[in-house]
Amino acid sequence: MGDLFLRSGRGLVTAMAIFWLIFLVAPIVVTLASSFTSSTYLTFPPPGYSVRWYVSAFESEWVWSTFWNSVVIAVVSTAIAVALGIAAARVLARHRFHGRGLFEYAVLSPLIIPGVVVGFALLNVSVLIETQDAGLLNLIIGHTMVTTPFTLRSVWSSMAGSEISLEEAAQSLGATRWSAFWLIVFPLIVPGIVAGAIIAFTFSFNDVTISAFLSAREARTLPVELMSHIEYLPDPTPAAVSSLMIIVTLAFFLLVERTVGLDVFADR
Amino acid sequence: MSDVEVSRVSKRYDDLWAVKGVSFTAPVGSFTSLLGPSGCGKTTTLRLIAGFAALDEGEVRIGGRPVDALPPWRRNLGVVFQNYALFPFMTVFDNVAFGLRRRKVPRGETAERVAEAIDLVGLPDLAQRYPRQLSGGQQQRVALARALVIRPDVLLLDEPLSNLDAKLRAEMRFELKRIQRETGVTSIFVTHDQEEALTLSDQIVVMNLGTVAGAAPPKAIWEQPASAYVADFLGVENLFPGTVGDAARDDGTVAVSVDDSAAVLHVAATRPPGSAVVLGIRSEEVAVRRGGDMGEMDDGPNALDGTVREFTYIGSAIVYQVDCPALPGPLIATAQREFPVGDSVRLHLPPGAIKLLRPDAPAGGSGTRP
Amino acid sequence: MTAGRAWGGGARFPASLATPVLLAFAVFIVVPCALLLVKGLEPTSAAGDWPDFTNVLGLFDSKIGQQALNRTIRVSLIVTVICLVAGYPVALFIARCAPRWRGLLLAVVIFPFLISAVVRAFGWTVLLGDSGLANKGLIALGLIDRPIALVQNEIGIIVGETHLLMPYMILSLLAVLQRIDPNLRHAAESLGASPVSVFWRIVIPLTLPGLLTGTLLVFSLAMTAFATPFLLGGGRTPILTTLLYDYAFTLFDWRLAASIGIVLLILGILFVTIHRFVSSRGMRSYG
Repeated sequence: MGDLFLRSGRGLVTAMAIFWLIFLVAPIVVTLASSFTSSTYLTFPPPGYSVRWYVSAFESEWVWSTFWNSVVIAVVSTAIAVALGIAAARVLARHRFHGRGLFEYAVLSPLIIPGVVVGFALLNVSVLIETQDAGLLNLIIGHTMVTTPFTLRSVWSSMAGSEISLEEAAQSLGATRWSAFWLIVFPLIVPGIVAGAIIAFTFSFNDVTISAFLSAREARTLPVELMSHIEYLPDPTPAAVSSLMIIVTLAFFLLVERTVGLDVFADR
Repeated sequence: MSDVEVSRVSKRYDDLWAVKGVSFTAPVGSFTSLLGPSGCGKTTTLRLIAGFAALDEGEVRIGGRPVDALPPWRRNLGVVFQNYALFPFMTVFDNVAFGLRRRKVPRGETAERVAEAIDLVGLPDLAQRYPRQLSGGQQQRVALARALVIRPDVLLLDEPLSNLDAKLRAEMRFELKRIQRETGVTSIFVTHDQEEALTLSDQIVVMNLGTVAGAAPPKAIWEQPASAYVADFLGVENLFPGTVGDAARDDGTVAVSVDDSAAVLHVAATRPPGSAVVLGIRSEEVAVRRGGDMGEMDDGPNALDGTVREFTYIGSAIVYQVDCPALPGPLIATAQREFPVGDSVRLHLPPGAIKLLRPDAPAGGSGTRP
Repeated sequence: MTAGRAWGGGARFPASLATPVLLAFAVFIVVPCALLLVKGLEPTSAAGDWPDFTNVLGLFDSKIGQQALNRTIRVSLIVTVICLVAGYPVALFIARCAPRWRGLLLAVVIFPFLISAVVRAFGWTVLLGDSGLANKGLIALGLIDRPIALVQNEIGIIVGETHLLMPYMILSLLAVLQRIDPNLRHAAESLGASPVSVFWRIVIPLTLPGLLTGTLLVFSLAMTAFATPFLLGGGRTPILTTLLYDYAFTLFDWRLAASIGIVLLILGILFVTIHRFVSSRGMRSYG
């Protein structure tokens, strides 16, 4: 009796888990499948299959121009976020000083402040100082600030593994503080830097919230442009673009999984 | 080679003095141990000498030259760390060559000197291995080779043997001694292990609560510890506070009354009358006989009756814990003969074996017993 | 005193490293947030005194503001409850399955949250549309006769946000589930506890910290999500974040937009403070 109860309980847990796991992948699978539709409107399952909407996506001017904007923004903001993240991680991992807690709070604050607030606050400033048309610059600033916490965390946790005695050993052997960092610490934190950079890049490339506020007429990101296309033009071209974004993200995801493991995502 | 002079060095972390007014000198080519329990400031002292931390007061001179303004990489010191701190992504060869490369030593000479150093520390041909592929003892030797290859003025060792198992530790102790003798490098060695300090050193500096509690060669410190704390740390099991009596007797002894008890012991007079002291005697110097046995020592002074409370067999002898009504606490004694628990025994404390020690404030939890 | 005092001392402020970082955060986070406060507390009339709290307070007197606030709280509560009820079995299932499968299942949980919210919302529009799989399924089951609206309303927001936030709940729970010492279970069983009472008396209490973390995280992120409700909620069901966007770009009332921003900012800080408080207490009782 108790055994039966137990077994049916286990079965229930498994069934619920499988349902919700399917729920998690459903919209992704549906997007991929419906992008290959042969019809001019979106349904699932599609009446027939073709790649015409991929051809349409590749031929669309808006896709290419906003794609390059997104790439430039993601690359530049990731580079700056990595540099800031390394400096901040170094401060937090190696130094004790009054106000250290405040420093940590400040650097992690973009995780606390809602994205719409960061976006709107930056827009408000850019209007005040009349730089609202410098869309690319504003987007880079916004993306850098919200991705720095990710690079910081990733680099910080990889620094925790490198003992301070390694640096002291290098210094006692004649390496200056700077060369001890580059020769000893840097090689040890490369995995953390790579993982942080990938997370930052993915976040920046996919972001909608900050970008929706900071995109200017000449500087829109791919997700923001995609958003307006989904809102106003429900033809399957956005499905093809969305699918391409899924595939690119999947490539990055597999890269992380193979190189540093999925734990970098799990501890956020 | 250089000597090291540490004079009145202090280091404060926030409100706490990690090291306060520490002074000692390590002569050229000597082996000096900094001995003490954890938190006594011995490692901090070593880090101040190495330059990893900045001192707040005092001065460190190496070869007569003050080094406080020099960063670690300009001090030319070899440091061996407790965890070895080998660079994990470099081969043994690259680890050892690291210091030579920083000094821009030519390639050929580097290879030669690395090979020499690896040979000196007795490592087999492992130059292309990575640290994680080596045993603890081998890692230890690489760390030594790396520190010695730069021909340091001083070699600093921070508990280098504490991560090894007992057998390897004994072996490395001999190795360390040999290497130090062969190179003649002035060495400063931090340890909490009195046996290591005694076997390796020319000089032992016992530290307590950030200060020097006593400094002397091993034999002197073993025979006449500077204070009760030093005696306790060097394994003097029996310590009782007492007061020196007035008059010395004909045989050069003086009566010392043990505080909080009726016992009066006769001890070689090394302290002025009336002074407060701590009486110390090692367990192996206490003679144990069956109670009621009549023997030649019967009439001598310092005979105490007691009852065996507990004993432990340690292989070479038996260690007894004996309750003596005359003393404020149990006495530890070592003997070859067996006495069961509850047996009456008679203890004899030879006047020459009892040390009159300077009392000091109990430290942490490892100071003098009350 | 001398140059030597600078070496190795860890107790002083590492100015050369920290200054650029602090400067960046001061200029691009602190100052903009401060100016947002200024904007939101600006006097409505030229003669008014600063600060003027009437905007922030008046926000919730207006019908639309009131509705948006209520909807935000309602949606967030529902999403949190669904994530909790759905996330727990998923976390249990993943924690208990063979290591070979665990990696794949973990990937299924983590992968969606790397995908752009736009793309995910797009998938849901297709799934939940009038001719989408969801409606077809409901009709096939005989629950409804003709398609019902599942997007461009609150249902769309709830489904989208559940999808957005469930991974956070699952990962928070997994973090604590995987740390449970299997010996605890064995010990309880050796003392005569049935598997069911082991679950209720050992597993549930031990996962409580993760449960609290996950719940707080999901609720706070649900309160402040933007892209998903924007795309799946449509124009007639604003929540606080989309209302802010509307005020900024459609109605051009930046004073009101800033007021909503202030409210969201306070909420963000509030949740982190609660989280710190809860997790430090959790540490004490389970450490």
